[in-house]
Amino acid sequence: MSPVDAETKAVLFNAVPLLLLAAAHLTAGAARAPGLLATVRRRPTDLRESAAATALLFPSVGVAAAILGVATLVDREPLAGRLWLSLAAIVVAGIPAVLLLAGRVEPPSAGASLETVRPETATESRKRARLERGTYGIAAVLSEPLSADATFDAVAKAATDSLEGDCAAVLRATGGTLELAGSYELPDVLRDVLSADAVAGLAAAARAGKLLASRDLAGDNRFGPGLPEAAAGAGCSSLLVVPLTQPRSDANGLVLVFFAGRQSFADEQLELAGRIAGAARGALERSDLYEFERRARAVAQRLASSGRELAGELDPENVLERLARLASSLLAGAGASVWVLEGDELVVHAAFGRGASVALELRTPSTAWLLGDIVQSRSARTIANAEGDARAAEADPMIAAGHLSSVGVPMIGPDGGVRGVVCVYDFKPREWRDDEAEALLALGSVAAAARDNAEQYQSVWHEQQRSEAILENVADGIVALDRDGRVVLWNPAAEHITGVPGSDALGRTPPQVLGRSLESEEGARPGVSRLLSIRRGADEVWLSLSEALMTDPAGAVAGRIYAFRDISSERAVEQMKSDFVSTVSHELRTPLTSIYGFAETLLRQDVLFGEAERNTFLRYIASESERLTSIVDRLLSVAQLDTGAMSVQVAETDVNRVVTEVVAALEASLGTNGRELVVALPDERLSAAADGDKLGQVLQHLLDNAVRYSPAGGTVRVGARRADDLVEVRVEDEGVGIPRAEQERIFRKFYRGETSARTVGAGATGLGLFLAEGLVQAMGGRIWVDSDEGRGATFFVELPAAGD
Amino acid sequence: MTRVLVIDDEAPIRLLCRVNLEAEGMTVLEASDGPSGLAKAQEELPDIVLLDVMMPGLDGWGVAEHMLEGEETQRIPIIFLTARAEFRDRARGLDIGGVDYITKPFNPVELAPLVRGLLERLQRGERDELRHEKLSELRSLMVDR
Repeated sequence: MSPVDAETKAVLFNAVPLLLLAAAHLTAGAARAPGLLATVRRRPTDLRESAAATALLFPSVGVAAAILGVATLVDREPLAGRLWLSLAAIVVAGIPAVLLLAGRVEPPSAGASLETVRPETATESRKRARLERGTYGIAAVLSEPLSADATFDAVAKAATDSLEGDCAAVLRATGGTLELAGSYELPDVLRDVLSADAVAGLAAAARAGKLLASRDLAGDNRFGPGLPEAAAGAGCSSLLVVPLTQPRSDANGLVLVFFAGRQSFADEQLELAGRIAGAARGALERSDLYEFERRARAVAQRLASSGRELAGELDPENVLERLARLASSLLAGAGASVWVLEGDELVVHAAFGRGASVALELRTPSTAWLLGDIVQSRSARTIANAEGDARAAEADPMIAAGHLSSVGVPMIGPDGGVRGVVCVYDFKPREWRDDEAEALLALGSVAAAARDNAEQYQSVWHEQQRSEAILENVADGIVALDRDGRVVLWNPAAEHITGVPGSDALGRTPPQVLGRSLESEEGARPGVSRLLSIRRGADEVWLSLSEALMTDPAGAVAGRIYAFRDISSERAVEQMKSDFVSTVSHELRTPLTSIYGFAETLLRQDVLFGEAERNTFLRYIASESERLTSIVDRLLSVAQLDTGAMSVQVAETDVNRVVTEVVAALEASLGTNGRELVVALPDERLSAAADGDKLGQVLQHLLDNAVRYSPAGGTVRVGARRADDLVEVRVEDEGVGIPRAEQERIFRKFYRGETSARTVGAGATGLGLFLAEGLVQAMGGRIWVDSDEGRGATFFVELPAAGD
Repeated sequence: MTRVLVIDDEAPIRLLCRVNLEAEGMTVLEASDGPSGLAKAQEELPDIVLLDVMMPGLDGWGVAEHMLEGEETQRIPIIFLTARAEFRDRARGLDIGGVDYITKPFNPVELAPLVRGLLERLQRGERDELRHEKLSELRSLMVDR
């Protein structure tokens, strides 16, 4: 080999390292190119990121080094020229990098520059790139969700992605325990383990707030057996446990990221884990706000609908029943109880959920711990976890029944007084939020007001029921008119008396309804009733009516109330009595006229009467005196029957003889007035257990009637017979008969047949049959009539037989 | 000779009227019920009728109303003769056209002078005055009540 001159050696010495450096950088740049291109395709703007810029430096520096190397080889310039070239190479390699870092230019696809870069920078950049990419991924994933559940799931996904794990779970601290709140790609075995009981070590990790890394979970005894076994079952070997700060809570949650392969956790992964915690906290705070808003809106809606529902309830106890259900559903609880303050005790009036039947009607002093405190302090009391809390179980039967958490608030009435306590329970430990307690308090107040209203309504209702019951059942017709004179009340008695149903009367005026006004012409006088008559169909109805004026505060007539009784029957009785008096008067006056008249006639000095005439006059005086006596006797008998002073002397009586005597007396007194009397008596002796005189009176009444009601020339038949152990006497006439409807009434006192007034006019006192029945019954017998209208009547008297 | 028709269902009352009126020289016709009384009044056209009110069948009011309807019978004066002593019955009697009203029991000796006096006044054309007298008598009774 030819000897190399010193200058050539120097050039080679300078150029070769530069070319080697250029080759290294270009190779590195080429290796980075696909990643770089991918990044560029995905998010062009992200090229400002330092990681991408770092990647671009490799080819730039390589090109710069190559230029310097080649220049040194080819161009043997003096030292000054080489320095210029070096400067140019540095500019070529440096400016794009600087500009790129400053975000001014798009990256060149390849550039030529010259610079010397330390080999260590690549590793750090790689790490930083991983870190940055992970951070970016976290931010991207966590920017999306709003609700708490979605946020927890997003945290799990962000952790999985950024830490390049395989699945993740997020545990939330609540009520002193950790609860599975979100997950990503979490296999069921792990879900089951994390959902069920507390996993050893996790609670401590959460309390400590420190990162836990387990490279080999199977060999890690910090978590007890359950979790590692489940993880192994799911094909996971490594676990990273990241503490999670929860908004508005002192307790930490946890993010658990599982890795399939054994993972040597790099520093940047651990740092990323820290960043996840920070980012998750932000996302959770945001979702917490969102959830709060959402809950507040939902609670407000439920409160409003609950208020409507409660306000519509008219039974006070139902209000509390409903309150229990509504309270539980308002807070999505598992049960509720409603305690009402009664004196110095709280009494469960309504309960819902497990233990409700036991709790109902339980009493506790209003000063007792927990429930009493709520009353005394007029503020909410919550229990987040009553696990093993004997005092809470003793204080509240619903907690004793298995509920683990409760929130209780006072029920405050519209007047500000505490009416009781409303509690809502949950089976699981639960941190009750302030807004939940406030919502419950509001519901309690609504319920207290609704119950007050319902109680008022009920008392008004009862009052009304009472008034209505009185109005329904009072015998007097009650009618109320408004100021326009229209009927606003028409009670059943008014319906009955007037014959007009309330539905026809309401809204109309009395003249429209009854054909006449009820108003007094002289104006209403309180306590004074007056008589007036109205028509009820074809009947005239007499009313005794009193009137009351209702006035409004200004003194104007606001309405009228009328109370009336139907006194038609009283008037009928009065009429009967009056008729009786005039009849009796007539009955007495007629014989009296004869007696007085014949006496005066006999006393005449101016006329001389013959012997026969005088005898006739005297016979009339005698017979009419007898008639007078019998009338007086009859009146006395009625009086005796009335007072119960009638006495009968029952003895064996010859019925044939009594009949014969009465007939003879009737014929002797010329009383038959041309009617034929046919007597049919058996030949054998007929003995009855009777009072002969009274039986005679009865038969006399019956014969008088028969003669009276028979047409002239008619026949009256009198008969008697024995029927088993009874004796029957019958009096049969051919008169007008007695309508069926009247047959029962004819035995009543003062009653005179409808037809008797027409056909007989005078004479009938309306006492004969009343007396006959009274006498027969006094003798232990029976009297009845058999008649068809227009075909005569047959009266029967039945007496017990005697003798034999 | 004055002819008097007595309508009464009670035989002794008819007899009383007859002997006492005949004693004063009057002729007495008798009927024992409303329909036959009305028939007799229409046939015989008596000078005056003594009419009982309470009778079976057609009562005194009915007889009087029928007599008022008949052209010949309406001028016959009626004296009601009844045991019904009530105010409203008297008023009714006068309303129907009765000229007087005798309440039982009465003194039969005074019958003939009463009949004679009434007939004389009626003959003098004092029928309206008579009615006014009786009505004011009633009015005074009414005031007493």
